[in-house]
Amino acid sequence: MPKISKEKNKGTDKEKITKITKITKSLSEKAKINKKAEKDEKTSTKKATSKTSKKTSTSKDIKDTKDTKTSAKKTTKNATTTATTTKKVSTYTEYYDLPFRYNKTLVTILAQTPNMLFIYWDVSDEDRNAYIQKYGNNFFNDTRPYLIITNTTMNYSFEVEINDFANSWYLNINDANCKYTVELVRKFITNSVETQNENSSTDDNKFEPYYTNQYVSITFSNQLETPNNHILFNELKDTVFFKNVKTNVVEEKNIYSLAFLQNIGKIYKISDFYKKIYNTDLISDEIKFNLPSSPRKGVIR
Amino acid sequence: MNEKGYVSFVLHAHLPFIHHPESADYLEEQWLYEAISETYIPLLMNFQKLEEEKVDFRITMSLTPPLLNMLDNKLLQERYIDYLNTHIELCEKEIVRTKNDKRLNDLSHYYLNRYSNDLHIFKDIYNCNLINGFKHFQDIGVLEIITCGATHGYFPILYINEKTIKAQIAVGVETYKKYFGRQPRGIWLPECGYIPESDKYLKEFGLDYIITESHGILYANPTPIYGTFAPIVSPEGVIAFGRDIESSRQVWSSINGYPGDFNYREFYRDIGYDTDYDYIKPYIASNGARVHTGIKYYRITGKDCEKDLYNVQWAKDSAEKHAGHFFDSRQAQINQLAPITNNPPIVLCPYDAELYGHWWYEGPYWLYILFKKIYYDDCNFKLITPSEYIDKYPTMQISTPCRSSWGANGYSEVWLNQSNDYVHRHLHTAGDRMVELANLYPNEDENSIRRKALNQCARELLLAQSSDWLFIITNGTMVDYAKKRIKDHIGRFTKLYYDIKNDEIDTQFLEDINEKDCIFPEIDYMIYY
Repeated sequence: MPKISKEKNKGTDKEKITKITKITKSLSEKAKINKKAEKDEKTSTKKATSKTSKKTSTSKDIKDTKDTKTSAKKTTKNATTTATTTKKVSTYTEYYDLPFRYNKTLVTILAQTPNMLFIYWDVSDEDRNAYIQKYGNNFFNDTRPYLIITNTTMNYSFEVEINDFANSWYLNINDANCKYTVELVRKFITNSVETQNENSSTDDNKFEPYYTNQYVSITFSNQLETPNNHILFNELKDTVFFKNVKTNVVEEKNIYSLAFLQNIGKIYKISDFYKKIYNTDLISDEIKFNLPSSPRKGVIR
Repeated sequence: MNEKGYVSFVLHAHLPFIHHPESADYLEEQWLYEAISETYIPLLMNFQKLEEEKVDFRITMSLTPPLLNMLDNKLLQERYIDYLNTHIELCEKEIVRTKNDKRLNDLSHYYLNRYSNDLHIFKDIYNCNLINGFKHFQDIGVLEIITCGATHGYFPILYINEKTIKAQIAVGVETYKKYFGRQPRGIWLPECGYIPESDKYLKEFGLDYIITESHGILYANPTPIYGTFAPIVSPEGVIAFGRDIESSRQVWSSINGYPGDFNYREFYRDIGYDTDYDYIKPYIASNGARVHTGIKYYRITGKDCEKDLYNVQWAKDSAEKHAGHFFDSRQAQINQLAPITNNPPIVLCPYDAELYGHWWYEGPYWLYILFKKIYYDDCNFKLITPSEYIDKYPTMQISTPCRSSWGANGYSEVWLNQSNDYVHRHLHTAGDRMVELANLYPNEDENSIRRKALNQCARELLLAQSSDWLFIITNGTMVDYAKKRIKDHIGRFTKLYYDIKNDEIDTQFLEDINEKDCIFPEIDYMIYY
């Protein structure tokens, strides 16, 4: 069994990194900028045009220099000849695409809501080749990808068939406020596979595929705790703890000894208190999420 | 009357870091200028009036690290002055254009005065540095400034690699110390996104308290006895204050919230759209697209009706009426709560700062009137900051806040949905790689190129993590810009990552992106170690 390395050698990912056009230019000092020329440029240049061009060239120069190296050199010449005091800077016209993939074996889970997981995954080329080497050329045809979701809080698991065209999945879950892990596996379509790796090394289970019934485990996710989605009235015990954050003294209190429960008359439970205070905003033990959200949350419009 | 309870206003002032030295044509850069003119200067001016009138008030504001870096940026300060001069020029033309309609013409004069005054305040009073304006009010004890995550990265998704949220917190605290010369006591968690995993880092960097959405408290474990009307402390020692539902609705609600009053200024009627194209063309986007100019002549007037002209006095009257309503509502609320809480109840009212002035034009005036009423009128509550409340009433229930945010529906849907979920694997991978780099090349020499490249990597990662890009994609406006920013920062980070590992750092490239992405000049990449 070949040892499978998870790390790719440097620079060998199939990432589309950058397409960069380097344009070396000179920047005349701000003090030497003709205000009128700058204003003209503001209205005639496109976003990608560099500051250097805007500060030192006419509108026509900028239009000419937009895309080609040749004309960029021309700008350099113009700029350097017109500026008596120049500051040498480099300006790049950049264009990036996000890497298509990182060629790394992983599965990651995130909680979108208390009842919705988002899961993304990938299997590296190196690991794929290792599986093919071990199980034969048809490994990826004879198996199907599955996610095994385990609720470690309530100790149950279930599986979801995914497909080889997807690299992420949204998944409804029944139980909020629980810890989950996900295992990415491949399940054999037929029952023809025999246990054949009993003698294989167990030093690194993450990289040494093993059988779990009919599954080959590919990798495990992070552990995720999903948010709670209701008021925990039923789990509230008679005793609660209060802490003085200045002295760090912790005090144990019986909730029925608290003054307000005695002052409040008919009300004798925390849930009744909540209903009284939050009346129309509660449905049973849940808040109605009708609170208006911020109109912008981080952007001005 | 002795106070039976407290009200605490918290305004969250944030904008993503937008700085394009390569071009003055990015419309998104104007978000800062609009916010300065419509929110930050009006708030400062109203605080100033309260100080001059010797009104004792309390307010808390988070000034986020990207906003502080932009307010401190010389290029953006110069461009803001250009923005004001352009607006003054437009207002002068408006005075001529509207000369035959007295009501309209009065409004043209009103805007000319306003922008001219902004220029005077910005240049002559604050010497182009509004940060010192806010610092002054903190120093005299009426304003508590708190910090935020370095670039408003959303913790509930980033925490897959905990060192990335540690860095968000560390840089947030360091930025605060740089500008305000002291340790912050509180932090506005970006998007109020709370996860218990961040507690240890909040404590490590000396932060006492956070602000959460209402269910961050109400769904906490165990259930907080006093609901959102008392802070709770997590087992790790982080104190959490929860948003009050009733007061939030009164201000926020788009249906019956104060900002919908018919006398208030209509946000969506702007001369950028209302005037002749050839006339307004020099003052809209450089590509010819109509945009808001900030000069708005109409009031909300009503629903589906012809809009009437804005009347400054009528709008002030409404603001005063609403201040009275808010004041009475809080008194009633405190009267109801005071007998049933152990300590005097606290009603926490957190809002986006830009609601005040930008969206709700009269909002800063409303705050001014409200604070005066609270100070002068017979009142059963006082204004307080969260820090003051903690110091007065340090005993609080131990409970773990609920994982939550203040986004729509209370969790992570805004920042994780089918429109933007493709981003997260890139953010997580870049986070892992940043940690890898810090461990591969620890403690590089102070002036080495590799150290500069590593520090720039940290900047690019932090900028990519801004929750704003994800929000904009979800929101469906300016989507191309947000997507480009994610691509640019991930692209620059990835190039640097390989350049560093291959020992082939392109110094010109590094210099170039360092000029563009110049946030956090003192950053130390070892925060990822």
